[in-house]
Amino acid sequence: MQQTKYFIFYFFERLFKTLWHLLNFAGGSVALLLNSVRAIFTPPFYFGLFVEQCYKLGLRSCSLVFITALSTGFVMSLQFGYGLERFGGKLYVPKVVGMSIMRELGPVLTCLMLAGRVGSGIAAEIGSMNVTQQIDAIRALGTDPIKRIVVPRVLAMLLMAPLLTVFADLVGIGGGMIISMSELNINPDFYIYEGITSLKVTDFTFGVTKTFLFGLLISVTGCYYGLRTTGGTQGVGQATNYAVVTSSILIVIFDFILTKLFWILEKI
Amino acid sequence: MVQRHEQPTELELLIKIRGIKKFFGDKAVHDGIDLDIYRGEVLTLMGGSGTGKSVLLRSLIGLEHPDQGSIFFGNKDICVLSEQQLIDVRKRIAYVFQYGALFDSLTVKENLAYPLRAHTQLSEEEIHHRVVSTLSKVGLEKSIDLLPSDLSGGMQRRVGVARSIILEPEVILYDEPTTGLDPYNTRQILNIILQLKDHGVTSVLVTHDMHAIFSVTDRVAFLKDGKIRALGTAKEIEHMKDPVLQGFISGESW
Repeated sequence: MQQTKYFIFYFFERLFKTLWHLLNFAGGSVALLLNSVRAIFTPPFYFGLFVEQCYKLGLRSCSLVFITALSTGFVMSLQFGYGLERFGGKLYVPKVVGMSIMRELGPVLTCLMLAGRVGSGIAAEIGSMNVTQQIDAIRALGTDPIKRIVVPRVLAMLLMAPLLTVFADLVGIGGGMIISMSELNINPDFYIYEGITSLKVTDFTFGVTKTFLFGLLISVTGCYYGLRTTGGTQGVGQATNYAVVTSSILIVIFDFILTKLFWILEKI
Repeated sequence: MVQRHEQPTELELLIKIRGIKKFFGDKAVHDGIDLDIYRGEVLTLMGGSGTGKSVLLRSLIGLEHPDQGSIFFGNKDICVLSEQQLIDVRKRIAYVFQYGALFDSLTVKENLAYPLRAHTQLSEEEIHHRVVSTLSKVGLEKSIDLLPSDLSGGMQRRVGVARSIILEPEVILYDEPTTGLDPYNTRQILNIILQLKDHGVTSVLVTHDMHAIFSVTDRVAFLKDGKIRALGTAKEIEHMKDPVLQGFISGESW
């Protein structure tokens, strides 16, 4: 009986803490986003910092995105190739691979990889700056941490997440073609022709449009947890962990919401 | 040897602190602090750990916001200013962080150039000259191209001081400027404080370093239980008969 009471108490305590944490995150990240939007449109503008972040967060993620997209293309082609062969549908591989990569796997896997690499990097860097009082120093020197730290990262992710997704789409479809050619004996000209004719512009645009939101989620979440870091190196580790987990979950949830929304829009 | 200078005779009120209260949870860190800070003086905030010295120092530049009370700098109440409005105050009041808080991705030169680029229209050449000249004041002009990670703790603090004084502020707030430093670096920093005092710069120090307190300070404020328990010149504080104060100075209790 005593153990049951303890379990119920523990369960509700955890539930309350999680809800409180979620509410704090929702309020804090929205406030951070609004402050960032205001900062984007008021001088001074730090274009150099934006370019630097595009390089650090975007260009330096190319190899990671390349490997992920290529492997995905390989796997999709193999799975659909051998799977559909049983029903005599091997020739649908270009359509299925192209559409699933364009609409879903390209944007989501790219942004999940970015959540891991970029989200953790942002949270760790800002968190370290916070615990070593560098964020306080930015304020004490009469400058705005939102403008100097948050805005360049948010803008860089808004630009780089869609660009990297386009890159991932191309690499993924290319990877699918390599396997189709070598393992499934599908002619590459047929693969390209089928890929181009069966895909619609909306398959591409809807996939890429999602990544603007995903990029925003990754950068704002990373900045939010970084700026809230307390408690030294342990706090930095915790902030990094929270940033990756939260942004990954948000990507998955918003992916469903946007996918549903886009299909509704497409049917209208 | 650090040369101690006399307290200025004509006192111009620069910062007026009235009725400051600050709570962390249930704990009152400040429970009604009143304090005047005069132009050109060196004032030390002294007290045991957790008595709110650093919180008070941070409040003077708006990095912390008191729950009650006012801090007037000129005719502006720092406690009610927004971050945007505080920018003007922060150009005139500088803060030296305990461990320098240098931007570790920037070189020493870039660290010093940071406030100049943010608040002045100087050309790159003028910025370079100003950086070199300020670094020479702290004896670190040869370290201009190094990263903070290449510097010792004492050198980082001196660069931190240089970054704080580069905009020629009226007030400099030092958080534990000499704690953990070797005698050479301690003397360097105390000499900088005195040189700045000669130029009319006001300094407010938070420190546990008794040597620093009694060698450079004009006045000392002793914080205890959220209030200022004792306030006076360094000599007066040294000879006050308050057993709590004397216990703190002698290291027997706090």
